[in-house]
Amino acid sequence: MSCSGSGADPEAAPASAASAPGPAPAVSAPAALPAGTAAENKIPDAVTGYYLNRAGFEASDPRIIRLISLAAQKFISDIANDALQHCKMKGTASGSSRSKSKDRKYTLTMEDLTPALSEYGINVKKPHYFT
Amino acid sequence: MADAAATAGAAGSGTRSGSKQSTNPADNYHLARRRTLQVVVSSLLTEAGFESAEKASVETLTEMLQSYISEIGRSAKSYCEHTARTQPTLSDIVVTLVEMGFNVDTLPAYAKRSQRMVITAPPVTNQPVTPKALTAGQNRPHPPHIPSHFPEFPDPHTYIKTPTYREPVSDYQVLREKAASQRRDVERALTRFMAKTGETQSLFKDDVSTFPLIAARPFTIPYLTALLPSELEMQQMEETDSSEQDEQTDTENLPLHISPNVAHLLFHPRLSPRRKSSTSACGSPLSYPVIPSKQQSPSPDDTDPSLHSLIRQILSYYAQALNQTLGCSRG
Repeated sequence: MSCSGSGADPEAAPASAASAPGPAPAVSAPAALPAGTAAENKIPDAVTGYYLNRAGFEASDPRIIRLISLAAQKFISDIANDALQHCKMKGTASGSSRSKSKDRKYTLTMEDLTPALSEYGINVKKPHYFT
Repeated sequence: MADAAATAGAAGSGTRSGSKQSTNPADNYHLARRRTLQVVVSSLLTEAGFESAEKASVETLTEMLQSYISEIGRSAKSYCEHTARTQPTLSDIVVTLVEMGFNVDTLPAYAKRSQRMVITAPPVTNQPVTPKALTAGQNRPHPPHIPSHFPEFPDPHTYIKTPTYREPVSDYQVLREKAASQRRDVERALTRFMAKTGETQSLFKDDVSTFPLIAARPFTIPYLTALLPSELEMQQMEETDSSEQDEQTDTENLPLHISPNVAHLLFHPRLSPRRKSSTSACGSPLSYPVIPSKQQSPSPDDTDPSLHSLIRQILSYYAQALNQTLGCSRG
């Protein structure tokens, strides 16, 4: 599986550039801290802490770990939502019956995931079969 | 509906990917957390609205999630160290997220929205603790060079060897009794040995072997002991004429045996120096000739015992025996 990802997203860069200079991140970040309590995060603190420790990050405050796990969750859920949009678009593109509305059975396939990831600058290429 | 789909999705992804054989606990460690991330990804997909997912997609997203977390950690650490600090703060993380293209403003809204499923952490296996009933003794505390989070030392009985020995008895009475009984046993054993190897006389006519007595050898010249000078005079004589060496002409005729009638108490070496007619040729080690020790005039060439030194030796042994008997009767 070959996956190349660039950190900078061309679409999100203008939005983040607006919030990059000084006071804007400092204002938004503390608001995220009390909101992100342990009960709401999907990723347990132990798991996130484990991967952060492997990277050399020693967290003094557990809220920092929850913030990071929340950010990672959002990252994945954004991609999932984009993939869902792709899946829905493919389903209703050829003008099938509106009443069924794709009978609410969406399966995440690599065909939907690949274009969603390419918008983020991540290019994946999975071989169809192994020889 | 969402919960059932989540469990179905999670179980599906779990069974499809659970074909690895993990061997050591380190691999288990990694796999447990990886599995947790997979469960998280599956629940996120379910939240987004997917009913099922391809295994390849779930694996892709899991890999992305793991790298994302690791990259945030690495980058935040770099930013923190860039400003000469060691502990990352909130601003380091915010800057990291911004650099990675993450829109930080949308975070609070997302936090408020996702309040549904909680994933439990992978179980932590503790060290096997020996139950209280089986512990014996105090564990050794850690020396200073070992951190405190290391496991404790095992029970001391597993690695300390203490040799067991009995304290020797130092009671005076017991020691005296022991010494006396030992001396009695030694005397009895030696006299029995002599009786068995030499000539014996018996008190009882019928029973010869029960109470053997060492055969008494009467003096051929009974009054010899009275005529001979005492030991002290002998020593003086030795000193005055140390240059004289008497030949052993008379030694062959003298049956020099000291065997008083207190035979059952004596232990003495038999002196039969040059007997040709060896009636006492029993082969006992006690009948070997005695080589007298020269204390005043050491001359290695003189191996033949002179008459004077022989007699002196005899008298010294006799005196010793007398002392012994008197000591036994007194003590």
